[in-house]
Amino acid sequence: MIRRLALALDDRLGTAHFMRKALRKAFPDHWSFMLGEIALYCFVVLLATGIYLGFFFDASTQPLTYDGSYLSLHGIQMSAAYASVLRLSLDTRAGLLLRQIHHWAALVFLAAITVHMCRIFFTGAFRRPRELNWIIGLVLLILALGAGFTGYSLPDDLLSGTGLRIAYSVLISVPFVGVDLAFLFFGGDFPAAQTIGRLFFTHVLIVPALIVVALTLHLGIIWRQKHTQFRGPGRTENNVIGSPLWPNYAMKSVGLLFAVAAIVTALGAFFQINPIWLYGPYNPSNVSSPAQPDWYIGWLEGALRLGPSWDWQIFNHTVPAPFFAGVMLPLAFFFLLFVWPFLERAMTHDGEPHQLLDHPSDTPWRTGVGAAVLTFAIVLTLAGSDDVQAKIFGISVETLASLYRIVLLIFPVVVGLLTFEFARELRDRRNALPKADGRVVISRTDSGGFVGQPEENTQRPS
Amino acid sequence: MNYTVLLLLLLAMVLYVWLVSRYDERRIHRLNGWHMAAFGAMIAVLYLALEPPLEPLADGSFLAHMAQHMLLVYVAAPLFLLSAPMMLLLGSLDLAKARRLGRFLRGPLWRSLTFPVFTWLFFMAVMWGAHFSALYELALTYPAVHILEHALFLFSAILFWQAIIHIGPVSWPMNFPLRVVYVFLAMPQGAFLGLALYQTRMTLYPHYVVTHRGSAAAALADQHAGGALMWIVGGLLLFVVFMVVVAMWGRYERRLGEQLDAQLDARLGRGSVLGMALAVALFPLGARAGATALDQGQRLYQIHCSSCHGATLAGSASAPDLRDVSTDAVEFYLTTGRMPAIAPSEQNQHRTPVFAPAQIDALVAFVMSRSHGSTVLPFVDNTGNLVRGRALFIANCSACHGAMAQGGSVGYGWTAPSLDRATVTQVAQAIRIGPGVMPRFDEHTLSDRDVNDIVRYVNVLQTNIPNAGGLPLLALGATAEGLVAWVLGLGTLIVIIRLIGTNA
Amino acid sequence: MTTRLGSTAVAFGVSILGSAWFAAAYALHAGPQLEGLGLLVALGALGLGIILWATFAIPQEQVVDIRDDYPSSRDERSGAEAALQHGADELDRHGFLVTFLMAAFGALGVAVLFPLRSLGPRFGEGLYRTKWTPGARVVGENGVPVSSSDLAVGSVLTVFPDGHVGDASSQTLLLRLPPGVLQPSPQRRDWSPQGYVAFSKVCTHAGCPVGLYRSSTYQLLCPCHQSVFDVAHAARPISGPAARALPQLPLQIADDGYLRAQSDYTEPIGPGFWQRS
Repeated sequence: MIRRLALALDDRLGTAHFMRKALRKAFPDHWSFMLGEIALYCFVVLLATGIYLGFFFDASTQPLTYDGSYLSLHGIQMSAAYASVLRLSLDTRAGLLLRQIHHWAALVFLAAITVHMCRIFFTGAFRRPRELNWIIGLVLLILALGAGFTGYSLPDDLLSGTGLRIAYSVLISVPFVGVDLAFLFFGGDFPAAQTIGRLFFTHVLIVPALIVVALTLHLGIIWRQKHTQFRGPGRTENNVIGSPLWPNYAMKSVGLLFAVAAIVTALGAFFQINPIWLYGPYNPSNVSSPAQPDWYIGWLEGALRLGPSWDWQIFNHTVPAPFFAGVMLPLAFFFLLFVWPFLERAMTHDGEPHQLLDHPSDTPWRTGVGAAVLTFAIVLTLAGSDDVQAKIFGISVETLASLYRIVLLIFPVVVGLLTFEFARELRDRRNALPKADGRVVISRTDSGGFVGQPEENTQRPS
Repeated sequence: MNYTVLLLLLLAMVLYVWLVSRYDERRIHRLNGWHMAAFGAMIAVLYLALEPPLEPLADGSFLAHMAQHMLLVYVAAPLFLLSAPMMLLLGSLDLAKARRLGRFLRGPLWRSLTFPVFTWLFFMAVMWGAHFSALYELALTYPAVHILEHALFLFSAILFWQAIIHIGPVSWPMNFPLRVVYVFLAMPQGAFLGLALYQTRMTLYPHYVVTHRGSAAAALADQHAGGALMWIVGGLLLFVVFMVVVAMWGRYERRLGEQLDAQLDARLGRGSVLGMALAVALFPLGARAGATALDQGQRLYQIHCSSCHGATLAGSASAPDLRDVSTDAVEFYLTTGRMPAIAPSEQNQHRTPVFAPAQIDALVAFVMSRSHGSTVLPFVDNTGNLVRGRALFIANCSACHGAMAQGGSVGYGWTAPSLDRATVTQVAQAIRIGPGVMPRFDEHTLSDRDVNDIVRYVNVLQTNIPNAGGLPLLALGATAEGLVAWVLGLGTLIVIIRLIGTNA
Repeated sequence: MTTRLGSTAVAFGVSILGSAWFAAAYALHAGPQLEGLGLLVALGALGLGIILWATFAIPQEQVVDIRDDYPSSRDERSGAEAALQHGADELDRHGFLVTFLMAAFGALGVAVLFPLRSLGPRFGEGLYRTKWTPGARVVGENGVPVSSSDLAVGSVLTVFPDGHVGDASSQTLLLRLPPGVLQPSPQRRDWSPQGYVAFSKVCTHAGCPVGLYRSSTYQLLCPCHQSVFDVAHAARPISGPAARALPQLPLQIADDGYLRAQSDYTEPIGPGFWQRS
């Protein structure tokens, strides 16, 4: 039957030539190359569950009186958006399950992207000719962050509404155009009626469409350039060795798709996430503590908490504190990430194409810098939940924040230096070992010990 | 009489006998009477645990159910391992099957499953997870889940015990010190779980309230009894095992010493065993019979309160003046155990009251005889309006106590406590008096009706919080969700791709 | 080999059972945990089966591809260059037209940005003014006016101007302090009668409601980024990332005993922005 399908396609599209090459294409199957696939399959789950959820969500802030099954909110005025998510969660079969799967998949999606990005960085896979794909990957990261933020703000509940308020304040902190931009995008002074509808449109159409386009480019470039591989026997800069696409790699990949779907389903079934009925509808004068965003926005939250209380006055104008922590820091961070391949090329004077991957200890300085930046991001993320830590350990949150400020400045440097030293030690140790690919001649020294030397003209066993 | 279980047990015995009959006599490792006795004992224990009289009792009583579980986990599982099942299988199966079994036992799946850190954690996770999640209640409602639950208990227990019972092929042989540590660390865990159940203030499983004919108090007592059983008997059983392991270690060391050289120090003999006492100390603070409440209160005040609050209730640097305090304040602080304070400089947490109710009344009577404060406690019952209560709670309380009343940090080392332990009276008292750094709300700010509504909503959060989505992750919000997504979500997936992919 | 395929078959069978479970749980209104269990088994067993099949039953082989796709050969490159140049020459010949074309593109690009202006209203007085007016009565969240005996010392209440309950920018915290604790500046001496003092509830850092009040130390804590404001000293920030004090609402007690505002806030409330001087 497959044969008939293939023939039918070839009759119309001439696909046989392509299929002949494509189906036997080599895919290196080191486990760390599958991290990107985890992210991809999380996105598939997000699309599937998201399409279902979209049928139930009402993106309107029109107030209505709740008359669903949750007794504590009976008769309360709330936005139609919030009411629709309540109805989906508590009065619709499989509604809560799919909504939770969607939210958990988003958290795992961004975790997978982060680890994948680290793998690319620490193995030097962004080097020529893959700089473009690195940039597209960063664009995907930013789009994923945007999708997550707009997504969890849709239910218009107390927690996400507080987060929207913070986003609004960060936007108005931008000099010159901040307030105008905020009024344009949000639709007026906060809270504006159009905001939820615009978030919905962005979350459901604009961002996913851009992600699909960027993903297609991302995967297309990998297909065209062929995947990188680690050094090993038989592997050179001019070949790539791996499992054939069909049936081996395709089957493993499909299996991974179902494994990813199963794991996020397990999370969505048994672990409660974002119980909006307990938070209640958004009311600008109410707040719940502790108030944290989803983990992938945690670094920005930590930056805002640790940021110094600078409100700069410049000639009758104000540049307030959230601008530095909420705008300048992420801009600088992403700028560094975007230019890194070119920065590294300038520093190493190495413009050669690389198809073989580095072991992280092969380039200790890159590993050290990466470890330092990663530590910086991790400390910021941890600082974003310092009030939760203060509650659990019974310590003063003000002290903890001061501690984190010191840690933020010192730890990345220390970790970077230690990692650099450690990697260099590993590399030197590895290089110091004599490489004996062929035979080794063992002879006795005068002092009685043994010494081994590779036989010079040994024929390599084929 | 559960005929399915009986049938399964009979089948197991038949299978065992058949396997024993096929056991290869030429093998070095012989099956002896002890192994067979252990298997027989296991069958007997399983019968005891899963058949009448224990089985029908277990449906109605948490205590009996706990006994059942403990029989499965602490007795049946080790007996199973002591009957040397792997050795039996390897010796009775034909060569090809035995080889396959051997390969499996050396394979990554079995090695991961039997890794001692994993088995220890898995055992604890199953015990804690089963009792403090929806699984227990589901098991009581759906028989299929109940069977799964028992299977899970048995499975995790077998994995747990096989880490230290080294009969047959062992994936991760642990030396005696490690085995002692392994069992030693399990003792406090089991004790904590039992203690946690013993200390609960509300029933965890609605099923048992039903089987106790609606009496939550009886169900709670049953729950406490089960917790005590696990704590004491479970602890004793583990302690016995601990002693056995230590004794075996001692015997091993002695034999080693005898083998090596007679001059080895006899101190390497039995190892030192420190006695572990599981004692509960009760400090009854009784009053002399016949004394009036006021006298008793004065005596108690002099002993426990005057050092900080002064002999004349005038207060001091570390304690406030009590001469204008209200009845509710005194009652609140004493019934929540916040007073007598442990350390004046730290926030006083809700704990078990030091004084008995009669003593609290005596103290209140004494303090109010010297104070010109008033009583402002509103009458709270279960008739508050849930919707108004929720709105008032979110407007006035959730900023500090959290939308789920889980508590939160309020800075400078102070925390707004979780409201899970407070009674409705104590919540109302706290609203009116504003203990610690909490602001107070008098009847002009929050009317009696408002307070009644708020405590109704708090009560719902305490007893019947709607966690429709699953485990509430300690109500810590996005922090816990992020941790779970990384550890359980991405962590599991990374384990999976390590298995799928290569490492070259 | 057969046992591996056997386990694959078992996995697929379990997956079918899982799908049936999910369908049954859905039909029986069994709730997300039981529905999810079925779905999880269906997906997981399916994935496991496929992976078992792919890993154990299919011959594991490695193929080698040669990297000769890029860069292209010299002939191809010069051919491509020639093709490009063919058109580029035409453009070069009329450099002035190209510039004009670019200008047209640029103008169009700027012009299509104009409709973006319709997305939101002009930034106007909204950020400078709230709904508080001189003489506006102070009411609680239930709309009931607050009289001078309504708040005990050490208590806190969220209040709004009469007729605008729930207005986001007008939300105000009403606190009552014991006599002698407040240290008002000379120009604010009559803003806080009988120990009543009112501050904007919108944090000056990032706009969250400053809902936590430590009454025994007269400090307000914002839950979002832990800014601490000292109520006794005009709510100036003493810790955390906030840089400006919470604006204070001038209060007065009218003859009928009810609290009223003397006027609107004397500075813009909430977080800072460029135009704020």
